[in-house]
Amino acid sequence: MKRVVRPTVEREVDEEFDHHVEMRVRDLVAEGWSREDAQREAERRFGDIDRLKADCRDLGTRRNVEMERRLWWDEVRSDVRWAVRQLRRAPGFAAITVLTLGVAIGANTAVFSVVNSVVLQPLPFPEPEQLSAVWTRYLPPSGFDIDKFVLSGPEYLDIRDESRTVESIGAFQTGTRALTGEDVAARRVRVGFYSVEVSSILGVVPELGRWFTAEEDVPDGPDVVVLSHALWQERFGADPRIVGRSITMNGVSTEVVGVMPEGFSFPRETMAWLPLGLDRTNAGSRASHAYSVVARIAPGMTQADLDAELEVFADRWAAEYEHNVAHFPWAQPLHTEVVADAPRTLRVLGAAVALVLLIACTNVANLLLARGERRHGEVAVRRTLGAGRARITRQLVTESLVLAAAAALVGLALAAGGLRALVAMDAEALPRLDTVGLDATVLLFTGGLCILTALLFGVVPAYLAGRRSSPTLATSASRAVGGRRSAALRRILVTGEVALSLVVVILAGLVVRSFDALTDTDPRMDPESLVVFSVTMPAAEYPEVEELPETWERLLDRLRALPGVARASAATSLPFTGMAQWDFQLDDRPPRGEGDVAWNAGIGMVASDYFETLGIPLLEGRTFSDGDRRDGALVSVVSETMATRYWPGESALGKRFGYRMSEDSVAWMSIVGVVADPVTGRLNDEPYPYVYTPHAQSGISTYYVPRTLQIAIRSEVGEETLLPAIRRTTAEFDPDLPLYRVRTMSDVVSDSLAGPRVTTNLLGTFATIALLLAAVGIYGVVSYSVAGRTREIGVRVALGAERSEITRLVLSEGTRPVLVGVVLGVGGAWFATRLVEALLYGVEATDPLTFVTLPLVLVGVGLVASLLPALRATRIPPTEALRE
Amino acid sequence: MSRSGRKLLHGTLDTLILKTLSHGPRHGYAIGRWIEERTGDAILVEEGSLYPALYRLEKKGLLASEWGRSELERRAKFYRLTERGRAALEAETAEWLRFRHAVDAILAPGGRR
Repeated sequence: MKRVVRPTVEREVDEEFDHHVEMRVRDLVAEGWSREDAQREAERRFGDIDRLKADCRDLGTRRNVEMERRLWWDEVRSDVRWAVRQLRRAPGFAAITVLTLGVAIGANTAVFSVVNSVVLQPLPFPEPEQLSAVWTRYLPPSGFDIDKFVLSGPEYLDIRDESRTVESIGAFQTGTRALTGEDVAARRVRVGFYSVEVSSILGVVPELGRWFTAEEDVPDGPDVVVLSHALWQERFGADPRIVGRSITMNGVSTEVVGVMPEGFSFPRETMAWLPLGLDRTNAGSRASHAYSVVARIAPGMTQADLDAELEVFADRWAAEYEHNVAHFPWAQPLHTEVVADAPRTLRVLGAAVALVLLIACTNVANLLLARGERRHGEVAVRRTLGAGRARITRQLVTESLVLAAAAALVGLALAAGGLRALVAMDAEALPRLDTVGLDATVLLFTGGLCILTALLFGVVPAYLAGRRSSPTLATSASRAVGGRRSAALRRILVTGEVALSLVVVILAGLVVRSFDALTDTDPRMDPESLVVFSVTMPAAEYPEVEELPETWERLLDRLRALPGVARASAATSLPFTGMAQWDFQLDDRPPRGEGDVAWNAGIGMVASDYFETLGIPLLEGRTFSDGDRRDGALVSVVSETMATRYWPGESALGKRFGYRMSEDSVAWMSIVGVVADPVTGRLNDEPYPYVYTPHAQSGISTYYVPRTLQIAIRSEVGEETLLPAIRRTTAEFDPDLPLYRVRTMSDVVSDSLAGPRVTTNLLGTFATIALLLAAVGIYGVVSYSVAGRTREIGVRVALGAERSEITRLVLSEGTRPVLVGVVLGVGGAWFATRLVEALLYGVEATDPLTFVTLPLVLVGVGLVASLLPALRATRIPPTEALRE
Repeated sequence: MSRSGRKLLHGTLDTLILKTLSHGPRHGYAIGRWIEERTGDAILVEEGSLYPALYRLEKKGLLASEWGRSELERRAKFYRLTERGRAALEAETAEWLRFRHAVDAILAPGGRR
């Protein structure tokens, strides 16, 4: 379009109006007016001419702005059309570019979506920054440091009654309740026992009915319950008149007072809430730490204020109560609490995908560079025809943007699919992972990424193309294959991408090695062929506590009699499912409280045949036998760490420890056996001292007789046939006794590895992508350089060069930048390992095997990628080469 | 006709300008004259309305302008219809006809009841 040179708006209006007046004068004179009259009349007709001119100038100025914009958009549109046309002419190039970038953008989008929903999203509660979890840090002189220990009742009540920084503070415990009646199968659900404050602290009110009142939250208060939305839907058919109805929980008729809104479930998977009923009368000992605590900080106060205040509490408790010496309360923002370790993992994943994107950009920049050279002629023609450098650069940038936009779409699709697969595979791997999705924030991120990408891979080639083309058609018509400078640039790009991919590959290698070490860790039991589930015997149906252990054995005996069942036993907690921790006294040392010494260990009350059923190796002494009865001598089996920590250098057998049952009595138990350390949480957890007591002596040697046990059944029969038989047998024993948390032990072990497994898989995938991209990049550059040297190679062959010589020439050419890249990459990885250090287990961050093998792998990849073009070079017939 | 009766309905001038230019480029004075002549001076196109309308239409992209020589042999600004202007004219014409029929139905003697 030819641009018309316009006068300024000022002059435009003046001239236009003058012309109008002149025309009018001419017409009026023709009608017989005198010149002077005609002039006056013509001007009169304009009315307030100054004002009219001002109006028109104003409109004219705005018109010019508008026109500029329209022109700009027209050019953009035509640039986009041109770019699309160009790309359709080179479908191979377009497809490779879009795919390469699409994969990289997809990986970045996916990781960002996870960061977004896991870390960035605020908690779904009002003013979430004021919410805090309160813990005690437990530092017993026995050398352990447990930073998150729950609070004791009196500690919680002290803070509740005296704190000035919290607006409100609530305590809760979790447990389970059996739901019976309703003419459907009995079901056991996870419930929360909440102090009345929790609802207002979280700022969530029931969607139906009400939360329980302070009058109901007292010891031995009325039996009332608030249901979760999910439970109300599933079990009570969303009965709109549920409020006021009585339901049966653990055999006790309980009145439903409310239903919480959909999506509320705190802590996770809680299906109903019951009053905690905690006050000074039943708060228990200061040493008995049993309550999770959540607080809402008062308006105007901060987390720091709460921390400072808790320190004052700690000092006061330490001064007033001797056994508080080892407990130090502290607060953690609830968001940090929920997010947990996720940022550490996500930082590594984020770094890896960012590198993958850089590598992809490098590859595409290389492709564009080569393409730019082939298009040298085209650009030169356009320049000769008068296209400005800015315009050409803009067209090339537009082409990059079009490519990046297409790649972003591919990336979004890949990310959406990938995330769905991730959640389906391992929703438990990260907190809040189930809420992950592509929302507006993610789309914005991907949009920004798309533009950034286009700039990264597009600007360099565009800059070079705009700069190089001297408008002489003659040179461009010859087969120009890159100047020296762009050949050098391509080698630098290859060096860079090799270095970057080596960093990703080494990071991934370390994490993979660490995961291998983790899975190779001895679980110190046999998780194969084990089905586990929980059963609770409620007080309403089994009132006689003393008879409980025997009742359990009767149930176990029936299960043991099932066909195909090898062994069966039960315990308060099985390996990999956490542990309860109790302080104990030692017989051969001064009592605790006088010597300021705190001793603590995990505790498991176990039914008969426990160690044999689980396959826990016995190291010394014996396991429990039928002789260890209620009326017999009190005995215990302890873990290896328990034995070596408290009786280093001697045998623990025959030694005595026990729990303080009252002010002046300790139920001493003799150690009869030492077994391997149980894994209480994750495979890589440091073993913690652990003691086992026979269930038959529960309530005598331990504080209480447990009503909930986890049953483990070892059988070669598959769980499909085994489980129905187990359910039938249990139902025959007691139809109101639901099994819950039914799993295989292998699944339990596998679930405990979910987090590291997801990290490892993702990082492995990203490293594979990085390696592939590097290979493609090297291959591309070497092929291109060979293509450009066909003539030279032909001459060499004609002059008698051996094929091997040609191969060596091309190979050395191709591998030199790779070798430099490998050296740089090793250096980069050396620094980058700091990122993964915290994630590693059983492998050093500077693991020699990783740091030697993977660079070699990359060199190998470089060799193979250069070999194909090298072989092709040797097959160039000299005659053909010379003819070119 | 009274002077007030020669005033235009709001917005109608824009349509008339578009129509005028559908026959080819013209400068501002010629546009006004053409409309007045075609309506037998029934419609008076005042300079105070004509020029703001032209600038507005140009700003909207319905008109474009170029500088050329007028019959006075001097520089003058010529307006022409753009593609968008042509489309707008068609839409406005159809709208006007609908409006006229509606008003006719009520006001015109012997009109439909």
